[in-house]
Amino acid sequence: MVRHSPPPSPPKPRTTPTKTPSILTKSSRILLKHENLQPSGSFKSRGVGNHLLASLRRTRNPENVHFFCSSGGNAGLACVHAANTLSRPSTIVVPLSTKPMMVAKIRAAGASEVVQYGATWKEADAYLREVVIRSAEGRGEEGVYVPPFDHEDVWDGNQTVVEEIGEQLVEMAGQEGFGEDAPAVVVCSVGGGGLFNGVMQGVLAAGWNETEVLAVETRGAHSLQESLVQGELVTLPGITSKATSLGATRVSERTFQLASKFMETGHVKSVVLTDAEAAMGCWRYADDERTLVELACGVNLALCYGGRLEKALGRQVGKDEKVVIIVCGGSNVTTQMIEGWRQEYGDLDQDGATNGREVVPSTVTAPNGKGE
Amino acid sequence: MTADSMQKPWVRTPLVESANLSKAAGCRILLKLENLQPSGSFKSRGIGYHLLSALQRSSNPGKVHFYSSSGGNAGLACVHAANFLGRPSTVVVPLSTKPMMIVKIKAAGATEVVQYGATWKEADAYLKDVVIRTAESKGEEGLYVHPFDDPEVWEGHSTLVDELEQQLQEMGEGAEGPDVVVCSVGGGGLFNGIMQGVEKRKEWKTTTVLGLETRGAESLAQALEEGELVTLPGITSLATSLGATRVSERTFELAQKHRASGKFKNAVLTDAEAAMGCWRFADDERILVELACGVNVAMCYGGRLEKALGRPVRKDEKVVIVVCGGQNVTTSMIEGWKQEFGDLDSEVTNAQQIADVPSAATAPNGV
Repeated sequence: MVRHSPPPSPPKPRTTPTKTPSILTKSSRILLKHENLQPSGSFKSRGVGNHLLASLRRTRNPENVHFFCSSGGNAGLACVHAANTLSRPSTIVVPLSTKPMMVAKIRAAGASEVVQYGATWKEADAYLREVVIRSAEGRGEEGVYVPPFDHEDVWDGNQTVVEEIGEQLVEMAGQEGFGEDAPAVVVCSVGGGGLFNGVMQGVLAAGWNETEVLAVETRGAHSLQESLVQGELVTLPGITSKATSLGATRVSERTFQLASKFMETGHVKSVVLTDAEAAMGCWRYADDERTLVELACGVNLALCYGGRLEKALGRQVGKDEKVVIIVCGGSNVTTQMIEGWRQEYGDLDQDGATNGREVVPSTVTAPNGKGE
Repeated sequence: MTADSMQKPWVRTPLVESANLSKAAGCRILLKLENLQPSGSFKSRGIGYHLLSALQRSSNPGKVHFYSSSGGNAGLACVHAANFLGRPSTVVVPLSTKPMMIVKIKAAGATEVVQYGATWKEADAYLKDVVIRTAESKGEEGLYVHPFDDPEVWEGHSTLVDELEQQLQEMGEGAEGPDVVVCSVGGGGLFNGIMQGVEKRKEWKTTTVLGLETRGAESLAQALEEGELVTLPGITSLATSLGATRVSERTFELAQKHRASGKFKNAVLTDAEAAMGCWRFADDERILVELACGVNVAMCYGGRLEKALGRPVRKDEKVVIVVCGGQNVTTSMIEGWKQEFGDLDSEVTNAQQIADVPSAATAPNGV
């Protein structure tokens, strides 16, 4: 790939979107990488932020750049936050079906404009490319289209999460008395595969040869697993999972390549859980750690309960093995939704046992659990 | 082995700038996320430091058993720190303690949780007069851990200010310190640690510490009004974590000392305002905190910060909110507060500030 020689420096952000640190906190053997604390509320601040930064570096006229995105979700939010930090305008075009709460969040984040158009994402995206960006360019702006996941810049930005994990594990090893060696397991969700690609790149670059990456999806949005089963990249007919942030009907080619290759060596395992399990992960996490995350993230946390981690790995987890869960975050969640999931999905695991611990607070708060 | 080189039962917490709260407040709001401490609140610092120091001082660390009469965050911090340091811990709490908190204390790894007495006073007396005495007769070294009134606890809490200084410099914010540090006042342990940290930093010339209480637990405000330390007849605020009827002497001393110069200011908010802070924080930042902490977040909304400071705030002003955390909160409590206390600021004239954050859309009688 040809890289242009750097133009005169683009406007420097006060805080670089891709470098915002998130914390690794410890709960039993499980370590949580708090991507929910990124400025836009999800890990997407890294990848999308990097793409915006890289775009500004590549252009001759950074002051003319206007960023455009068709995500009414976390990618859209990440785009707006990063654009703001970089002092550039951003416009988001989303389908009419987008939740009012998400539209409000995108406006509150400071988008220059939010346009609602079309019945589906496809229509909104087409309108964005064919009409909105064209008008902007007609006005002399340099319109940069921001893809939610399928771009190298996005994967490179997401890769920084693994670099930070590595540094933080070394710091914590001295503090907490565990070894400086690589984590045994890294858990991440797979939607379009942007995060997974970044994680794999990071794991490979770090030389973590024994680390297993669990690529987690929800049933009804399991585009990666379906492709692995078929032995080729496939497109799901539709998304039936409620974890809409994982709702890419087709993962990136890179994701399929990396997953197939490393599944053979046992370094990647594809895990699919139900919406009910994802919802359980969300309400239990809210009760046990007082943080709200979307279904797309709760699905990872569900692995901490009811022996699901062992089942996914196909083996027991040793006391000294570090399991890092990338708490991807996400803004599409409220206390009301959590309460709803708690009532609807109840207590999937009557005994509420978690890996290595008998009883956790969420055992008591489960609707049919060992209540008050 | 010094306390410095031993592993610490608390962590360095992030300092994050909140886009939504900054927008609501009209200045830069930086959140010190103490909710991420291992025990769920800032108490991991002070109590952790105290336990570490006690073990170091003991001639028989292998016989030390820690005791607490807090059914709240101090108890949780004590248990977590004791576990971390490889020592047993026992918590004695009144019969009225919420079952959820009992489960949390057990889940944190308490050796034993004993429920005794109708009030905290009775549980505490039983702990000191019976439980610890029994332990000592069995050859243990029983150490009673006070939730806030101990200089070592304040010393531990002041590590927060050390981190704040480093983090501001890492962010490229210079050496003059934040303009305001907002923290809750229960018994005053956190406040003591913060004030001590701020006052010793000569470069932090213009930093103000804003100490907040809730109406019905305003032991400091009452003492300042009377001009002497007082004991409230009881606690009527729902923010039970702030429920010390009397602040520590050191708290009263520091508050009086720094009031004249404006280095210290205090304010009292209602339970309704604290509850508003909690549900807005849940909507705007997706973090759940207790009422005792929500009272700080409430300052960001409806012009409360200006009112408390007695002056307008500048857009570039740095206001650090100590998000103290606390485990006594659930999503259903948050939902309940939202319904019960509604949108307190629907009449507020500075509507533009309120309208631009997510919680404006989710307020019961909001937009």
